[in-house]
Amino acid sequence: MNGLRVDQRYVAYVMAMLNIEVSRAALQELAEALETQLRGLGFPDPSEPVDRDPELTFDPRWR
Amino acid sequence: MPNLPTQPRALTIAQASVMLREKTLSPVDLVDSVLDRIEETEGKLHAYAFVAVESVRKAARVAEQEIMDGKWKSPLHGVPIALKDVYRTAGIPTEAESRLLKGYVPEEDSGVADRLKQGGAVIVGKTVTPEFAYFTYPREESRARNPWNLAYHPGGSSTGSGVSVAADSAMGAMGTDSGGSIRKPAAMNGIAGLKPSFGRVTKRGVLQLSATMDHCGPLCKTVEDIALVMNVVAGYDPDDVTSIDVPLPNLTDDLNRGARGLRLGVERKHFFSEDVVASVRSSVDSALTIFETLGAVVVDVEIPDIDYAIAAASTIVLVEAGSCHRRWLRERPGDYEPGTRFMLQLGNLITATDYLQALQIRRRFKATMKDVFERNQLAALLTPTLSYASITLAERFPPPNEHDRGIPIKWNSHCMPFNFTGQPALSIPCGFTSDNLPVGLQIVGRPFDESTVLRIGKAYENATTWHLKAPPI
Repeated sequence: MNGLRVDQRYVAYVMAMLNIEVSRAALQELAEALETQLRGLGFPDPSEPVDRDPELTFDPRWR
Repeated sequence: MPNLPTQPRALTIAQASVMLREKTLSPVDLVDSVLDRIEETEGKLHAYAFVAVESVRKAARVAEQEIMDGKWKSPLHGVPIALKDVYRTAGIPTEAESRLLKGYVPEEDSGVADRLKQGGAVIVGKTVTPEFAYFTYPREESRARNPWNLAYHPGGSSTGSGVSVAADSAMGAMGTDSGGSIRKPAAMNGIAGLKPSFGRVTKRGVLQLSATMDHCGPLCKTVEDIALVMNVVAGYDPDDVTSIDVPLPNLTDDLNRGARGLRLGVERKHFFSEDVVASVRSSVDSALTIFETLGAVVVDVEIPDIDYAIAAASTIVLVEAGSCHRRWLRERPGDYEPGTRFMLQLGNLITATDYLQALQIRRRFKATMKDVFERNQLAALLTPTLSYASITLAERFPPPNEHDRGIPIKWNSHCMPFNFTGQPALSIPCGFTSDNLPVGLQIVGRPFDESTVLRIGKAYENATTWHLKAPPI
């Protein structure tokens, strides 16, 4: 698979965490479906990957 | 001033600054002295990714004229400062040791570079870092050597920043710290390094690793130099979403108030565990005794849940780094070094629920640290900066098949908790091992109380001579 890679270990991890048993074929199908769906959404990644993320911050002050 | 070094590059910033202002030292001569030192040592040390020979000479001539004209800007006026190669610098390459940024020359300065220039400092060059300040050093030239013993690693990820200051090939340097990356090279090179409070120094224009764990800060020969650099680079920046608007005092004002009466906490279970090597333990224990002779009150404290804090902090760094590199991981995965790609991919495998749990642990641990400080009325917490002094280059760079498969947790065990809480943390030299490798003492303060942290560090320097020792290169 080129482009976005849905790592099957990740899917397997999520399935295991949710206590769902799944066959290898079903896992493959799910991985491909996820990839198709994410590509289809076309959500834009940051234009400059290493720029500061404008959403994420933290306040260390003690209140 | 008594006992000044004969070479200008061996002066502290504070010493050089007085001479520059009094016009007994020219910025041009100071820069030439530093450039000569770079020429002399770089073949062995590899501290620099890029030396800005032409632009720094030009800037020095401008500074000289400004000072001659009575337009003195700050104690950094005419002082050559190096920047880790993740700070964008206008007209000077910024490549973060990555093929993904090969040939990148920014048009604009990072906030820190901009403030340094406004203060009259001159940018001598960019110092080596692992790729994107993470873990992997791709080129042999980026694997800097420890000036105290060339067979040893000098720490990272602000690797070249630490080496350049220790070797007098920069008067001061800026680093970044997401899990100890200023304090570790400070400790391993026998110099001072400050990770300020989160939000204290602008990260505008600095390549991101972890949005909520990254900190920018200085590495210098002395605590006083740290204060002088902080006075120029710190303070609120409305163009940085992580910057926090807390008034910045003049950090040199309280430097010489001593440690008498201050309560200093020591936690033994984690920070002095059996993982801490004997020479580090004894050096830090000796430092605690010195503080008692200075009139400080050393008190034992307990810090619950610190192991959770390190695990959660690692989760946050992995996820945030993986997130900000997502597009390049998809489009240009082969351009990353395998070790970097592995770490970034690992971040993409962590679930959102795990990340949110890490944020919950962060809130709880921040409250824990507040309680520890308030219940014990602490001015600061003292720890070893690292559980060891350094490791050999052979240990740091094993054969390819064994290479870069994760960071041993002990590397970050002493520093990372304070990236997690965002508290200011300073490393200063407090001794040497039998192999003549420096040992670091970490001083951790209350949020935005850099003033007290530096005051404690200066009190220790005034009572000792570790900070005066220079590496044998």
